[in-house]
Amino acid sequence: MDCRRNEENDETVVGGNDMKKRMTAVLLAAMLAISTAACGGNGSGSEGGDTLVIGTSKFNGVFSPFFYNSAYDREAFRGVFETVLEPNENNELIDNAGHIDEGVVKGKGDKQTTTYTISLNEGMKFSDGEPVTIDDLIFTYKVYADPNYDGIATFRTAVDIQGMNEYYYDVPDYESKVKEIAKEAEEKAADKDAFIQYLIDSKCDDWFTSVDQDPDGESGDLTSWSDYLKQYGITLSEADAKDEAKVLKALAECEYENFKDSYDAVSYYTTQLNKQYIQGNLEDGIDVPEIAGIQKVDDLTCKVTINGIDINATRQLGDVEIMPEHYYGKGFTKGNLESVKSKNGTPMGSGPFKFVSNENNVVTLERNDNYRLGTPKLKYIKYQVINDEQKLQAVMNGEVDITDPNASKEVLEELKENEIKYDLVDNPGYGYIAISAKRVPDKNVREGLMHLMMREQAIKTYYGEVAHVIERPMTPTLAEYPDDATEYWGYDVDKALECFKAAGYEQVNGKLVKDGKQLKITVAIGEASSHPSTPILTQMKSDLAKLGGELVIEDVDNAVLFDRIDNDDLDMWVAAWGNSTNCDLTQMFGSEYTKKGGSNRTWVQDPELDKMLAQTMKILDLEERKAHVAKELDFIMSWATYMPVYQRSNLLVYSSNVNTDTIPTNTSTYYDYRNELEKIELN
Amino acid sequence: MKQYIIRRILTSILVLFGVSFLIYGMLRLMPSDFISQMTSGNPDITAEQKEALKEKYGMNTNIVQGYVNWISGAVTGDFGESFQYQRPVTQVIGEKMWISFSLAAIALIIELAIAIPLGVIAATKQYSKVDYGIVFFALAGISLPSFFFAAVLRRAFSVGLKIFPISGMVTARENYTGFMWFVDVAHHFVLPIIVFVILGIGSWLRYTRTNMLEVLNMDYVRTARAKGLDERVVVFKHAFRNTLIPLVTFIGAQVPALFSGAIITEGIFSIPGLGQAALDAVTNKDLPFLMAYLMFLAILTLLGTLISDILYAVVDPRVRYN
Repeated sequence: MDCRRNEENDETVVGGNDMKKRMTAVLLAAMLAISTAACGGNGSGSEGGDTLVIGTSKFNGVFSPFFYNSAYDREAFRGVFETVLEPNENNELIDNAGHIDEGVVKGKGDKQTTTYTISLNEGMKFSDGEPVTIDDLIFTYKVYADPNYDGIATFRTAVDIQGMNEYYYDVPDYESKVKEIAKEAEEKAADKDAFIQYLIDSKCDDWFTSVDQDPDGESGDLTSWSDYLKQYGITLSEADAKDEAKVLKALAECEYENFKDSYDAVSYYTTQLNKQYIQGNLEDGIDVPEIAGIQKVDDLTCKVTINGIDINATRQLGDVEIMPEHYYGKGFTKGNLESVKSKNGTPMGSGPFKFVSNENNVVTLERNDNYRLGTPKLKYIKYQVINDEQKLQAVMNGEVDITDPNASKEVLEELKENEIKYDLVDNPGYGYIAISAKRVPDKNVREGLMHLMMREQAIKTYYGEVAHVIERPMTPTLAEYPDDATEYWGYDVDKALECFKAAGYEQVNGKLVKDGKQLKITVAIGEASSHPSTPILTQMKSDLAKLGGELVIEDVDNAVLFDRIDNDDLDMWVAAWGNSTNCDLTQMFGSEYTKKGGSNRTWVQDPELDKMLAQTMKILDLEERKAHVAKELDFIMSWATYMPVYQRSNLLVYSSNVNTDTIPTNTSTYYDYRNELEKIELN
Repeated sequence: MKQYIIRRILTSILVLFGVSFLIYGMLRLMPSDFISQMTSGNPDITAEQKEALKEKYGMNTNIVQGYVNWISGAVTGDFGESFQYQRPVTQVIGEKMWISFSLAAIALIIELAIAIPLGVIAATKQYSKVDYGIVFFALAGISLPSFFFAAVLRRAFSVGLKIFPISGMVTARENYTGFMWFVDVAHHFVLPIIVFVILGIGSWLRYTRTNMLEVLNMDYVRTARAKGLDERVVVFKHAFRNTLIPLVTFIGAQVPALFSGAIITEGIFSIPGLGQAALDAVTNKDLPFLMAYLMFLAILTLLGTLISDILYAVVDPRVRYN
């Protein structure tokens, strides 16, 4: 027995030695290969000279203007498509692949319409050689308008094209049907039982999740639903307080009696009825195959008629990628976007580059020889995913040619030190601190809080020259921003105290009290440790404490922050708006948008302001509009709900590989190298 | 044995149902959702549009309803479409899984190749300078935060010496194919694998050392030594073989970790693996992806324990399942 075993063992030992030798050989070979690759990586290979590497952030791989949900996906497919118009450096629209005539206004009052003539350039081809025609653009509009469109574009509602609703609801006599639905929804909402049923069905607009839940989140004093209901004189027995259905019913009744106006039963029923209605309409075949307001004139021209006047219409109609119908539209019928979606990973258009692949975190584009402005200079553009922290280093190492690291004081210093070329442009958005007029209804208190915000120092320390304080809630990158606006409230602790006193607060034993209650404000901020506005809050906290009040600063996750803002769960919060391209502030400050899901979460409700907001989008003359917007913004400031804080900058960094003479000299927020990809050259 | 395996698989299925409901419930209770996430900061979106989008993404159901919808798809193999990627989640996971797996598997092999011999040496020379040196090295590796260690490596090898690329999986500038592509990827994987290995080696090493020490104190080892056998034979033949038993079961338990991906390291090196994708899915509330991902891990965990139990019986003849 033992003998045999030994033999076996000897064999294994021999095998082991053999293995070792082989392993060593493989290892050596691998190391050799690696060092060869390392050398290859440093020098530019034969193909390297005409490949531009752009450092970007994570892709979701939805490379379709229709359905993308990440700005980085969009960046990677921008070069594949062309828009009819594009913004210039001042965000004014200029001709790109086509032209839109100034709108022709007809009629008056309710009957007023504007007609735009859209024409495309002659002789354009998609990268597969097919000609670009107006049918492609009309097809594009129809996808955005489709009843089953589920991307994030707002084309359908952003501009009031004639016949859009008929197309969307697939009924020729939409007006009467909508009235019918609206009437039915209103009737339902007016009916007490139906309203309560809505509150139950929607769980009080998703406020209620379980019987054990804390009704006012983490901020308030309440601990259970019974406590909440007790405030309104409803007492639940102990057994009932554990019964989900009973608690919900009691809550629904309570909310109906006390807060009916803050719930939107009408939209709920409208959505429900609409849904049943659209489904029903599409199931019985397509009744409205075209959008009436969009009419083809010839192969390169169409006319689009909209209701009323809208300064935003040209942008909505023109800043749209032209999508090839023969490619995306194969098998497309109204209501079925599967074929369009199936091309999400493989975009094709008429832009300077064509899509090759998305592999291993690199998107490859190759030049389109059919491009209307001639063959692009670069052969390939590669978008390489790279961690934000490493973007600058990658440029210095030569791994990446153009990228967009977060602009900060430190990054800027490093750029200057290493003599790296860059452009610093304003970000089309701004940071603000908001106070809810619903939770803090006394305007004097809000004014007092406004007087406690010291912004200048906080922003200077955090950003240095890469951000500056702004005075009105609108991004200064827009032409309408009043450049001469001065500070509205101003940091002044004495004035703040005056305001609190005007609100009825008194300093008793070092505490600011009214009706025996101390002034206590809860403010939430996302990721406070790295937020530029944190010092403003800490300053406020100590100032308010000196006056006798209390500011509770809650540092929360961004997702939680937005959730709590949406639920009107905060007195005050710190946030930012992004990507503003027009001066329409209706959604942020219009009364209508205080409803659940709307963007007016500071609860500014003012009929006069509503009128002003509606007026803005109808003033065609820029100077006139500018003056109007200035007044409008002053009005908004007077509500003391919005404190604009900072306008920060974005960075574009170019490595020494890039011939910076081929980067547009007029680079700005709205116009940069991405608009002239075909011209870029490498050194 | 067969009976045992069948019984285990059947109970596993029951466990999976429980796990899936728990996970689903917890994910739904997360604050915010995909639509709010996508539309936050966009002033142009209306409440009605958000509502319609939620409807289309199947998010306006309650938890139980939502779970029933999900499970009825899942049992037929349809795990739904990822919100972020707009593709079937199984497809997305299938692609990313192998990237994570290749990184983790290579790292694991290297870890074992270094940790086991060192562990054995440390045990045989207990309380010597060599032992202290090895244990110190192991503890230092365990204690290093990956992001810090990665930054140090990068500073030294990418920025300083310029031997390895800063991040990514391939050299974007080149269009490598075939063998050169493989070499390029290997080149990019060196730093992440070093991070994995240095961080992971410690636990294996300590585990080997402890088990080896235990075995070295056994009677049969003393007997072997008393027989006058060569010390090397005693250690590697008599003692080490028995140390393998707990090690093998420990390796079985590592199966899910091979596929799950490394959230931090993948993120730092911009490698499109599952760990990075899972983190993004959490921030973006990509429910279908997270469900499929977590279920995948649950299945692997159950499978891993089952395999290690079976292996246990294989390496240790005393173990019998009935």
